[in-house]
This record gives sequence, C-alpha cells and structure tokens, in this order.
Amino acid sequence: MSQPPGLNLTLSRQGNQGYTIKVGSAALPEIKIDIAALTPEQRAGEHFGGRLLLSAVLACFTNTLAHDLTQAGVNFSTLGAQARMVKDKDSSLRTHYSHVELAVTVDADPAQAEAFERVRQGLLGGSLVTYSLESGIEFTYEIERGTPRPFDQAPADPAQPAAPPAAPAPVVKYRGGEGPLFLLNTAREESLVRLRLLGGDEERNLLLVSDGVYLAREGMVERLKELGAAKVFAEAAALAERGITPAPGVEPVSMDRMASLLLEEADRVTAL
Amino acid sequence: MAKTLTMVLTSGSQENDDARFAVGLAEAALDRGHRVNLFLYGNGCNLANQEVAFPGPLGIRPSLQAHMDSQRLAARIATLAKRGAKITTCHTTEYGRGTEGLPYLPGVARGDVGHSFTDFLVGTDVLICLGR
Repeated sequence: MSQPPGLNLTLSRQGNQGYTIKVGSAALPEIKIDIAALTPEQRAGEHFGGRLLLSAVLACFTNTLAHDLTQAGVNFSTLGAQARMVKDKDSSLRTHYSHVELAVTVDADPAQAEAFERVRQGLLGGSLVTYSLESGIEFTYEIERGTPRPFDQAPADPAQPAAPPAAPAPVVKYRGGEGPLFLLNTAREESLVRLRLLGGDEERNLLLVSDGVYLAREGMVERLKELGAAKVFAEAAALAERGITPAPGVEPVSMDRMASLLLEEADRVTAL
Repeated sequence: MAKTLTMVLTSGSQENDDARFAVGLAEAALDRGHRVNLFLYGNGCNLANQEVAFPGPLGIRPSLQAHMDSQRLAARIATLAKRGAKITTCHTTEYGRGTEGLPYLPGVARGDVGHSFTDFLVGTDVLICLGR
C-alpha cells in the first residue's frame, strides 16, 4: 500500500553537543544546532522547538499569502510578518502552546484593494500549517495593507533572545468573602446605588481607583460597609495624588496588585 | 494561568484619570504575563493618533506645560502595542470627531464595535468598561 503524501525529515544528535536536522529542502537542506556553543543561560532561553514551530507558521502563511496575492493579480513588493505564541495549562495541568497571534502587513497596491480584501478574507481561514495546528492551538490572524514596519518586539540580537515574561507571583486569595469584586472609578452616589442593586445578598469586595478613592475617606467607608462591602482596596497612587489618608480597613494597593486582584484573585469582576 | 483583559476606554488623557489607570493596569497585566485588549471608544479614540508638535510659541507657563505633558499617553500606548497588547479604535467615533484618517500610533489599528470589539469579547476573561 502506498504511503499518503507527506514529508519526512531526520535528525541526528551528538550527545549534548548538538544536532542536525536534515530538512530535505532545496532552499534549506539542513539545520545545525550547536548546543555546546551556548551558555547555560542561553540554553534556558532558547525554546528552540517553539521558535521552529513559529518559523513554520510564518513561512507557510506568508508563502500562501504571497501566492494568493500573485494569483489574484495584486501587486506588492514587500511583506512583513510577526508571530507571537503563548503558553497555558490545559485541563490536565499540562503546559502547552495555546495561542498564536500572527500579524502580516503587505504594501499591496491601494488601487487593488478589492482583490486584496478577497485574498485577505480567504487567508483568515489559515494556511496549510496553521490550519493543521488549529485543533490544538488557537490562532489569531491579522492581515493589513500598508508599508511593512519593523516589528520592534523581535529581539534585535538573535544571540540575546528576549526574556520571556516573568512568571506571576503565586496568587494569594484575598480575605473578606467570596463575592464579586466591584471596580469603582468615581465617588458618585449612583455608583453606590448600582452597587446595592448588583451586589444582591452576596458578600462583595471593592476596588476603588481614580476618583473612586474619595470613598476611602473616613466616614465614607462606613457607608460602604453598610452596603455590604467586606473588603475595600484603594489605588495607592490615586490616594497619594489626592492627598487622601485612607480610613482604617482600607488596603492601599499598587498597580501590580490591582492586576493580580482583577485577573488572578477575584472570581468575578464588575465595573460600576 | 494567563488571562485576557479587555478594557473599553471612553475618555482621553486630559479629561479624567481613566486613561492613565487603563494604561497603567495594562502595563501591570502584561508584566504579570497576561494578555491585554484595549478598545478606544468615544473620546478614547483621541488616544489612537500620533501626536503633532506645535511649532509656535505655546503661550503657557513651563509648570503648566509640564503638567500637561505628564498626562500624555502616546508613548506608553505605543509601547503597550509593541509588548503585544491589541489596541483598536471605533472608527465611527473617530468620524464623529473628525479624526478618522489621521495617522495612528504604531500598533494601533482601525476597528469597530461589530468586528474588532466583538473579536475582543470572544476571547476575554475579564472585561472592564471605564466610563463616566
């Protein structure tokens, strides 16, 4: 029985010194990786498998786009693309690449905008490689007409890859109830009315930001407690800018802690 | 686990504190490894455009100029986009303000409620609408 059409690559590795991938491509016969030439820090930041995966995504998608534009008679001279991939944990708590954002800009002739749009719409369904990966990785495609610009996010020096984002500090659930976290950016009375209406009988916690920190003053906090507020946080910078000393029971928080509260600690968030 | 924060911003940088807060929270969320979408709606669309230097005498005191400059957010918004935040406008609100077609900051894209904002919502974990 004949094999279905496909690709066949081989790899040979020399201990921890390096390895060679026989690509079999006329343009790129092989890829040689010299692990021994890397410092321990460089090895830790290589993520080479992920980089090769994104290289495949970029190559396939842009080749398909260039081919389709040419077939459609759309003139262009330069094309720029950027791919960004992020990791996540799945339901089995296994880390996997979960999302790829692919952005492409082509200096297509403005006079051929209609034909460009037809090609663009077609490519939003992915290319062979990206469509094949979509069952496991979510893709976001952006295809724009315009002058390709240098993507500043890419590391300037390939020998010094950009450091991955620092891992968030461990989440510490705030105390004071399991109800929603309400975000207030004003001190207006109608916000408090909405707080009472939306909060229902649940315990609720408050994050006061911007002008909302006027509610952190002595006296006002008692009103918030009457409205069922279990825990009250207030933006430290906004307190300082307004010269407000928060009442006892109000916890001043930094922007970093607010990101943690809103994205990691609170089960539900409502902006009033 | 990385989450996606979407913020709808309806104010410019000089009207109130919302724009400063939105940009600061976006920076902090990215620092913590999360994803950020920023939808510039209503007067928020004024944050989308490149700044234009005024060549003539400003006619304001240096202290006032310093105060106004401290509230400008163009450079921080462009940096957010460089760091991977998705930032789009509502082009209808731009049209209403006569700014549609002005050059965008790098990384800011023309958008609308029906498509780009809806795309944001589909992948959003936390949505915050900052309005007054």
